[in-house]
Amino acid sequence: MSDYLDPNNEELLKDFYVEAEMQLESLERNILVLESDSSNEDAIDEIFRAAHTLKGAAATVQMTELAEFTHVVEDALDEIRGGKIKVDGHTVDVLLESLDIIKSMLESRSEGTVYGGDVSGIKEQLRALFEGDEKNKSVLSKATAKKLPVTKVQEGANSETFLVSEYEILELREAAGPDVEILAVRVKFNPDNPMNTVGGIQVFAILKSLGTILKTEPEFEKLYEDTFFPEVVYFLTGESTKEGIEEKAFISDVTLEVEVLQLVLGNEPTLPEVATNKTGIQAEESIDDLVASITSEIEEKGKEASVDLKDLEKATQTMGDPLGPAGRKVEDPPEEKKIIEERSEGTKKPQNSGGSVLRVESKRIDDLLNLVSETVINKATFNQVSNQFTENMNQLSQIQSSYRQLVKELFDSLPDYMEKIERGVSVKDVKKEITEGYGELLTIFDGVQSSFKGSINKFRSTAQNLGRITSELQEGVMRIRMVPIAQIFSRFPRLVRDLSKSLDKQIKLSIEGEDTELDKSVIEDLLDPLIHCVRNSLDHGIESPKERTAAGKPIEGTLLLKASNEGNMILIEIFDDGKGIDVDKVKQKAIERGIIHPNKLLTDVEAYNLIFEPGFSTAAQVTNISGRGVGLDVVRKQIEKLNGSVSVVSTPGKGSRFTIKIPLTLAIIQGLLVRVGQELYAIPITAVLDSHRIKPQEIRRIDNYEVFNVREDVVSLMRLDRIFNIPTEEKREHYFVVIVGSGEKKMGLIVDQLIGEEDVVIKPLRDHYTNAPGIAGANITGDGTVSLIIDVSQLLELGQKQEREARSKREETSSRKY
Amino acid sequence: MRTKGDFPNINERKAEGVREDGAPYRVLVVDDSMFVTKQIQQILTSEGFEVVGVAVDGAEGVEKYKELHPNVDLVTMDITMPKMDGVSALEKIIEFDKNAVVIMISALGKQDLVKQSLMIGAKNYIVKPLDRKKVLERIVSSLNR
Repeated sequence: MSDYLDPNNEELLKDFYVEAEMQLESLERNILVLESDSSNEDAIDEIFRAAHTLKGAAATVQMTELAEFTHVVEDALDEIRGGKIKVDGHTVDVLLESLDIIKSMLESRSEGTVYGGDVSGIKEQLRALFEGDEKNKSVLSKATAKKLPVTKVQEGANSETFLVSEYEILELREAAGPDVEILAVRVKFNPDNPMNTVGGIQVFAILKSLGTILKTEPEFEKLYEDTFFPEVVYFLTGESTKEGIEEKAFISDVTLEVEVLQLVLGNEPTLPEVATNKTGIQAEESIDDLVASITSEIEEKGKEASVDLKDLEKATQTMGDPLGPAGRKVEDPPEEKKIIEERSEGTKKPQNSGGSVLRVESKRIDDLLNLVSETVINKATFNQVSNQFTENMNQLSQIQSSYRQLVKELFDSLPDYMEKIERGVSVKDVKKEITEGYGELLTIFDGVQSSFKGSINKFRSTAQNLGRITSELQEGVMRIRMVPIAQIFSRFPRLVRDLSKSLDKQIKLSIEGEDTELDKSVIEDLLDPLIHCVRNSLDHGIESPKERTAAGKPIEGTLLLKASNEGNMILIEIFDDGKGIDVDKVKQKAIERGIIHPNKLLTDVEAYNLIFEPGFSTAAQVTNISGRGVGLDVVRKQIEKLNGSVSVVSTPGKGSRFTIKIPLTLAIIQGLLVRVGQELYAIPITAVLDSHRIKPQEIRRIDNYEVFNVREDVVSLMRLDRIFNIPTEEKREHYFVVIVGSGEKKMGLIVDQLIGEEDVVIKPLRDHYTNAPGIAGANITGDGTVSLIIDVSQLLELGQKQEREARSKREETSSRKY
Repeated sequence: MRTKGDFPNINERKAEGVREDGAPYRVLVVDDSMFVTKQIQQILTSEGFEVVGVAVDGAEGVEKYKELHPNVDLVTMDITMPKMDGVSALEKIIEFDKNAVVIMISALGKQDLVKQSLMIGAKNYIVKPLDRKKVLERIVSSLNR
């Protein structure tokens, strides 16, 4: 069809996917709006428009299965828009399910395959929406079926009226007035044109511009209806010539033939009319036959169809009733499965969007351009300053040579002066003579000094400017990658709805701060942990309606998703008003699982955060939604990968609050530069808790481990030089210890020197370096040396692993003793 | 993207979008779908037309037309659009300039609206999905009329 789909047109396809995604998002959002407010007309219009656009686009890119399916959806939506279908829970369910199918169709297409799932079931459901609501649909279809032949019969009659229209011709003449030429334009239309019913009007519009249309056959009102007429006759008066009309009225692939006949003054019918008369009658007969056969056929089919429909209805009823509850039960698990699948889809997504498209506000690009132009100006200033310096240098060397000259002369003439003094010339006079000759020497450098001063000042201010511009530029580029968190928050209404349905809980979701902006890469990686947290809150936090009423709470639970800025961190909070976290249960579990020692004293906050430990799940029963063995520890791991942190606080009986803190961007972080041997390392400042200078004797040993006391705490130490195998002088007067922590874990890193805090631009490590444990990436410092960035959580794990290994080894040896 | 300049023209066929005097026809594209807009642009520019303006809804379309007038020869107008639909926009444009050449872009199933537009003064219509040949044919025929 369209040659615009050659493989070279990836650009267009990419646009298609981007737009399709937007349409889907809008569809989902508005369908959910509709669920709570079924009379919201804006939402309905928006849904319809989105579906319509999607259909059109899908057809253009030749995704027929998609176009076809969206078409059915659109039909259903049209009925909703027309107010024929009432929007209830079921309708929304079906619509959402269709959306999921559209989504998977798009996904298969983007992976280069065609969706192979069976959509007939959902199609039936969609159809049932508008058929089921008007129970007498079969009757209706019959009625339309009947209507069709009726118009056809009329057509037959029409051709008749045209052909035996002497009386009407007279009437036309009267209307046109005497001596006016009346032209009959007979146009045959192409039935294969996709919008074949429009042709009649299109020609009408053209002819209207050429003269006055007295009459059309069939009548104008009929043309306006949605029926196709293979032939239309227009009677018009005007100055146009036959050829002109024929040429203008002919529209390629709309009309097949245009014939202009002249109605001559007088009563006698013209010859051509007689001729057409005969053929017309023949044609009429054959048309009549055809119409008769078609009518009967259609009526039969209509009966059949209605019978089929009735049978089907009956069958579904008989099937539906006894199976009713069972059917529901069977239906539920797939729904849950779907949710799980959706989750795995979610994790798959980021990989797919490798070459993803980013939409950026044009103002942000303009700002950048502005800054770039400033840097260009800045560069010019630097050039100027450099020229000034060269000038200064030249000036200096000139002055220097004349200075040398003078000094030399002075030295040379010293003996003469001595002689003069010896000869009896007064010292005063000699002094005067010297001052006259060489006084210049004292001030000779003044000029060059002041010009140097000027240049240096200029250099300083330019460098300052450059600093300002680069930091603005950095911010500007970062801002390009910033997208509102609404992009992922928008997914939650649907998720919460589906989950609360499958959990049989009533939950209201509110969202705050969706305008908060975050780096695109961060946002992509944030979705999974967020879903996990929300799921956890819904499943474990918010109680069932029964429990809620028993506890005297409103039946409807609330979940609040909130995003806000905090310095250069983003704060995402998830509040629920559920039962909260049972501290004792958590402690008990943690002891059971060997996560903490029974004697360990914990504050409540520390206890809450135990739920992020690996292998921890307090839910007695493992449900499909959460508690599938992978617990909140995954959330913590993922958030820590983003250099963020996650914590939870809870009030028993009132609810809990998860707080996720992540840096605005991943590309640049604040780092503490340290030196170990000859190597530089950067430790993300967010992980640094403390730094100390200690003497060797402050390091103590517990169980063969080096530890050290910080206030009341004991922190185990790790020597970076040993871990990274760097030769260094270990015996010294002082050590520097950087205490790093993530979550509740803490550890001291022994380094040779603290260098300072710096903005660290993270360069990812490629290929075979990526597996280096404890290293997150590399960075180039101001003087061009490379420093490696330490991945604190990995390092802590490494340390713990070593500890565990050593412990098990110890236990082995000690058990052997007994 | 392929452009005309990249390939030498072997058959000295005149590009459809260029007038006798060599100046290109200037087109304003009004469509809420970025995708369709791009497609129309590709088709038209490949034939030498010049797309002088793009608008994402009816209201903007009317505004752009008034702004560009008389330096615009043709408008392609989508029918379903937010804010102001294509038919109302067409009405406004015709009201402003009764000789405006407006071509409606419509999806299947919008016959009534297409008819309405033709009666208001649209010169032609194109049915989505867009087909290069048809688009060019209808646009060229509308310009010559």
